[in-house]
Amino acid sequence: MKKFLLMSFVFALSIAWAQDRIVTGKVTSPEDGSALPGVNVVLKGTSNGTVTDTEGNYRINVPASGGILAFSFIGLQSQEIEIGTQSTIDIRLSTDVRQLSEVVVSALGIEQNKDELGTAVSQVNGGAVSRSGEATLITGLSAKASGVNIVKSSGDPGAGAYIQIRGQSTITGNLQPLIILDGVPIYNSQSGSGVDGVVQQSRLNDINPDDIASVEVLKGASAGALWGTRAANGVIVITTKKGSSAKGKINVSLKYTRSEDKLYIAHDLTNNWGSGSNMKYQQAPQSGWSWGDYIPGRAGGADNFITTPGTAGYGGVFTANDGTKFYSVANGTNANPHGGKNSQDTFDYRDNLFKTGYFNDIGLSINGGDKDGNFFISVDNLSQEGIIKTNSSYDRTTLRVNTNKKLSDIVRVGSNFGYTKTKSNRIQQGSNTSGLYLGGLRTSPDFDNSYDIGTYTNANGINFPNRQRAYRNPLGASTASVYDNPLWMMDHNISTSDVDRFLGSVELGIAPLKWLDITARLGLDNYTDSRKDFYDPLAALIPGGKLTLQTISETQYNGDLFAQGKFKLNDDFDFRALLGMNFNERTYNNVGGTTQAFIITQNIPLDLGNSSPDNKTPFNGYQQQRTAAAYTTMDFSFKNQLFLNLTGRAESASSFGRATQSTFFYPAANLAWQFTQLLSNKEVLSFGKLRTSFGQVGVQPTPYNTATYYTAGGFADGWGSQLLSGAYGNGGYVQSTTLGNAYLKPERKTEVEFGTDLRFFNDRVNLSATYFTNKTTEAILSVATAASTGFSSKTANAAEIKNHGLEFDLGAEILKIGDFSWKISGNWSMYRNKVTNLAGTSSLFLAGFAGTSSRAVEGQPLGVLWGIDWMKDAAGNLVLDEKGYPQAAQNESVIGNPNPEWKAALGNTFSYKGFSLYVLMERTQGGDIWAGTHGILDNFGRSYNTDVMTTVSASDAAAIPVYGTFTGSPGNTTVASRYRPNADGSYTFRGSVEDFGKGNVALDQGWYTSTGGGFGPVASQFIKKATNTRIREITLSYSLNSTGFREATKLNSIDFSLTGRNLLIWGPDVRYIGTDPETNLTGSSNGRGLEYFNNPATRSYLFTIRINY
Amino acid sequence: MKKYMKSLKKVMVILAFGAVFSACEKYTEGVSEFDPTQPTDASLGQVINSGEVAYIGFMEGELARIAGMWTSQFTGVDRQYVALNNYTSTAPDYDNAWSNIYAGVLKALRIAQQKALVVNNKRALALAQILEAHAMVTTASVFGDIPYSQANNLTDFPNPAFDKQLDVYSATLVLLNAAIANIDDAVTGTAYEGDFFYSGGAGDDDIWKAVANTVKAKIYLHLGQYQNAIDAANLGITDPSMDLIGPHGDIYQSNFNIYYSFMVYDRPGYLAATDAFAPRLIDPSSTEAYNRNNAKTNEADRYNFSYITDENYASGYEPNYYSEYDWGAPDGYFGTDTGWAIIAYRENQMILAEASLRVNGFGAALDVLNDYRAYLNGGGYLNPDYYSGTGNYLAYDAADFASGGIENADNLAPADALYREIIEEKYVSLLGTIEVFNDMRRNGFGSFSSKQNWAVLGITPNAGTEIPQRFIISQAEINSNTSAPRPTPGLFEKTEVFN
Repeated sequence: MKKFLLMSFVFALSIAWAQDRIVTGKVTSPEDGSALPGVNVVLKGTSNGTVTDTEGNYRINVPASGGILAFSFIGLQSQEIEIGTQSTIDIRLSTDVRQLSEVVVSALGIEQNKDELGTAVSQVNGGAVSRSGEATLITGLSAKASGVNIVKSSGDPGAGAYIQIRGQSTITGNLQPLIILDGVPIYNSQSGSGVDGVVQQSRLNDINPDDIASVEVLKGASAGALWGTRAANGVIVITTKKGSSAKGKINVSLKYTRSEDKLYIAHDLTNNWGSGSNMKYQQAPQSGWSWGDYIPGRAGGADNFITTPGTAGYGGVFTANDGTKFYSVANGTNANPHGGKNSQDTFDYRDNLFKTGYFNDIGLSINGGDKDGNFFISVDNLSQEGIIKTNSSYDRTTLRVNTNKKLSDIVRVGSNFGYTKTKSNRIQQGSNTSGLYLGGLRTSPDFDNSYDIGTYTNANGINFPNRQRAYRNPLGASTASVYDNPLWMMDHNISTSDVDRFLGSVELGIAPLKWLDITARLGLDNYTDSRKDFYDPLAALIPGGKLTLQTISETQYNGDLFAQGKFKLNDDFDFRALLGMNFNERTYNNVGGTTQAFIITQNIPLDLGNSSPDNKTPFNGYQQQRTAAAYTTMDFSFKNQLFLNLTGRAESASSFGRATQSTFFYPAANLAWQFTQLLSNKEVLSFGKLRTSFGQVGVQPTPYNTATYYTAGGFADGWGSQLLSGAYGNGGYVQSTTLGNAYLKPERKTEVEFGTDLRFFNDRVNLSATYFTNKTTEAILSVATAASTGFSSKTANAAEIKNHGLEFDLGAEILKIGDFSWKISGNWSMYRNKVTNLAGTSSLFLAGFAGTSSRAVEGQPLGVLWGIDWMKDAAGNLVLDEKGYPQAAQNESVIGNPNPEWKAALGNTFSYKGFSLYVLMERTQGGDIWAGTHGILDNFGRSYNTDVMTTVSASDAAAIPVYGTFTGSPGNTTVASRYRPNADGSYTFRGSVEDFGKGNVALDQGWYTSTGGGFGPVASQFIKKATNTRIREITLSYSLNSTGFREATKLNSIDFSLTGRNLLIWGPDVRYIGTDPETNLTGSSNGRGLEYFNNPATRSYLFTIRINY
Repeated sequence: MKKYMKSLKKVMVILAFGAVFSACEKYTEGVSEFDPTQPTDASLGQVINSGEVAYIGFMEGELARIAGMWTSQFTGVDRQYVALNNYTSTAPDYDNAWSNIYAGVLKALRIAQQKALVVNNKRALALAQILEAHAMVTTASVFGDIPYSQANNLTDFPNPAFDKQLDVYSATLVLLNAAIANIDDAVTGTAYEGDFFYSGGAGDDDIWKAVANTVKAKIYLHLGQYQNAIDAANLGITDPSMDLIGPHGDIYQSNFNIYYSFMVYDRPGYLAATDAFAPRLIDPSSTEAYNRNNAKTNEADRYNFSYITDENYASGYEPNYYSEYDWGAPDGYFGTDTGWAIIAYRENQMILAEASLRVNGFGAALDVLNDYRAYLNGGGYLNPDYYSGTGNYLAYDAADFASGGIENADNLAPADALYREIIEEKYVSLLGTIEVFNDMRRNGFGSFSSKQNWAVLGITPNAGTEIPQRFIISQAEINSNTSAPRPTPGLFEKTEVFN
């Protein structure tokens, strides 16, 4: 359906000509034969032409000798017809075999002919996004366009995602592309992403994918230059649907999608070892370890509960809500490592934490119109339950009304209005003792989490109702569980978000003269996110409980006024010019409060008053910034084969330092040459274009960096402990450790791009290739300064980053036999990135932990993983300690690079009559990820690789050293000193023996709970390859739209589709990483490649039915 | 005319663009460049308050915990603390503490000094100088060479040089003398603005001079200048009521005792005392030969105040974090509200005792020790709820230290036995402080002079054959300071002062 394209402007010039006769005819559309207005009809080789009217009719004067009539319409295949002697030529245009539409939408929302562009633009049509099976827009774009890398924060419903276009080109500034919706910039905030807490949403996901007509990804600086300091990370231009203008017909479309979501990849744990230490069972395991007894070696049957008060070891009783009682069980001893534990039952977290999630998506859209106006209305509700058992949900209701009206030949008005209501429930994740996976994966396999709440009765018979029972608190005897029982946590720690969002724009267009068109456009984007975060008083994270209520709101006003003129200088030269102004204001406001240590501890109200006055903390944040600019863009075309575009934007912003110049200029130019116009034989190469572009864009400083502030005094030690000046004396303030900069100016990215767009075999195959190189200079960052200077950072225009890369897009119709066709579309891209100057800091923290972080390091790609490696000599060999174990280096270094070497995607579409099968595969080559979870599970004795037993002879046991000390270890020198002999004198211990170069050493509990595990300092041992290949999507669809059906039902069509998402993934380290490598702990922050108890990803099966009337 | 028209058009275009730009700038200037939620200055008292809070954080925070693990007062038993307990420590472990020392403590105190000079408040000036001297000498004592003379001056010294450890010691002595002089020179009407350790009034002059002198005594003791140490200690905190205590309260993440916050709220289970030497030293039920309980000494009260064995988070001994607030039990040494002694009578008297032994001999030192035991006998620094009454610390006499006496079972020279007792007493009295790590690295006296004090007490290192000799320079400092030594000294490299 290309009818909406009717709104596109077609300028045709009629020049007086010597005419001899008239040809008339009607042009119809390929789909249903309806009239096609607006089709260009030109007498080839002349400038004599016309345009079809609203009934699709045309009338043209031609010479008596005839000639050739060329019919062209954007989105459809151009056709040429020999006139001969005909006086009536009716023609039905055919759909362009190429998948890509020829029309792309510019940064200002203006449609352009792609063949005339000198820049690389990737277009994704709306159908491809909604078909992907992703509930949210951003992830629906995954693998659909070259050069766009999308990483979802986690598999939680509504989770945000990180979008990266052409590599990272700023350091600490926002890395997300600018989103333009129907010509107006909108927010894609993901507010509050740290190493713990809940996964936040990306605000772009407030848009219903079904409302989208097309998404253009403007990758280069030249394409985005009209947006100046907001375009450095690329621009994503989203166009929503418009009503059809055909014959006043009303089209109604009803859609229903059902998705079933399942746990996809999960950490592979061993279930062979009980809770405890030193191969002995402990009911409350020391340090939470599962280094206890060998479970298959247990007697089986019920545990020996110590049920009699007063007997040794009696620890009271826990009575679960269903009456099940738990008592103390004797710990293991040297003589009997199992103690009182007999049961061989184990409990898999995959069974008890997850369910089959689902979503139901119901949408209705109505559209219609006539030649003077059209409307599009849609309502949609997506209601999703995540795979986590409770309280993980996402519910989005969207409403959209788009209208366009031509009031006269001169004046037209349009408006787009969207409202979104989003509600979600989120589960704690990450480095968080109340997180789902942190307690969930650490739980010993012999502990049943499903009895999570009940009454603890102590030895004196006192009852403590509503106690949490967790594996480190097995009878609920303590109010402190160290890690929350994940099932208890889901029900008791509640985080919700409730968002109201309005997106609106109105546009007034005036075309007072034939060559002049003036557009005034006003846009508003406002959202309010009301968040509640509640921790039960028994939560491990915060004893006594905590409630945070906050309201985050952002409002953006945007105004554009621009005039476009079109001039024909002579037969060969066309010139179009655009001159405009832009005003933009953004305001961020966050007001909230926290209350902790509740007074009421049962049936706790959502009341910030529920604590002593000292335990209440109000907070607020505010930011406001304005940008104003004047811009111009000029297009020259020569002989319809050479196209030059020049763009300039002069911009000032409130966040620039006022001590210096406040207006900056961003130029861009691009050139396209359709060299195939010179070719006479187009049989093989039907179209060819070479293009090059140059552009400069910038990054605006975030507001309020121009001064050094005073902040409330305090102390925080990185482990959670802190002191606040406000609690001492009369309170205190002190100068911030970040030095402001009154001379701050925007950072500048300069990019040069070369590319070609080629089409072969009558446009059946198309290929685009682009090479770009860019350099960001004066990048704004908080330059890390040595603390000994009194400042930990100073804001400056300091760093320099270089990127270059290659992108290929391919589309082809491989086969067409009768009704069967096979089409492919693919893309491949690679980027190389380097921080060439970091202003004196050798390494700058972006995100992560003290021990492992993603950083900017001079001479390295951005985001490199940084941490402690093994101690090595100059030759790179391990430096072993006196026992023969490798040691931690004293200082940190680069240990990995999260940037992939390349990414490729290949889509196959097989069609037969109404059936269509689409298979999308993707490969990510290289890129490192820190498998933090795995390292920690090594420490706890839960990872599959710690499920090893080794038997050594008595003499070997006396010689092989063991590592470290741990509580409960009887000796710390050799295997014989730490473990117990078997009957034959040999020693069997859990672990392996390895020779690092100085003879055999034991890798056992002592090793994994210290240097060899995730809590040890050596992060480099957990860096793994994120390389993976996946079948991202398979869709089988069928469209019932035969003439008979249409006549019988009065319906246009019924479309069915079945989609599977994330059906298969394989990669060398996927099992080790234990989750989809496409994840990031810190969300869309500037640091990447971090995996640490991230909530898991999902696989989905979807069924969609769409009824079109 | 046509020509003019052309120029006129140009002018018009330029004017139009000019108008647009000025409109743009006017529009953008309509929004403030400055954050309306943050101030750009604060008063002298507010800055001193901030400096004092950061100073408590330094003295009571992460470095004190590491010091305690490495001197066998605590045991790291869970997660990251297991490796740390085994002396596996790397540069990033010190980033937070280092940053707090310089960008928290020193920075605030320097700003306070500037502000105090502007208003001629020499009392506030002296306070900031004393705390600076104590903070920086403590930093030098544990890290060795550190930035000091060029520190806190980003404009002139973006890469501050690392001063020799001994130079920092000298500079802080000069600063302390200046502070004492400033108190003497202070004019009427000025006060210790912002101070919350004491009353804040001019009446605190003697207390602050005493604090300065105890810090001086400590420095002289480190330097082995024992007569100077005696002189300073005699002018120091000679009365427990003058102790400089970091106060604590019941608000989590605001004023909790930092040890408490760490052990109970933030990182339960990390820090215990399972395998530690200190609890076994004082636990009356311990059967270790080195146990301190004897005919004249009953450590039961102090032991109960310092350690517990209820295994709430870890097996065996745990530091006593009990409190009224969460546990319904009297606040222990590490309880929620328990104040943290930063510069106290305890330390002053133990410096005096050791220095007296070294300069004036056995008798003088025994007198000082017995004075201190009398203080303990009266309840000392214990929470009164843990005090069972007098009789626990009877005065020692020379016979107790004679060969075979209750304090000399292993037949040392009496002075050496007394020395060991003084060091042991200080080791127990200063439980959990960074100063214990300094003491343990100092060389002993008499027949112990070739041993460091940890060996004198008989502490077994957690790994290998000796305890770490320093902390490692922060990774963040190395990343951004080209003057930082490369490579930085390792954990077992002795510092200049404790060599």
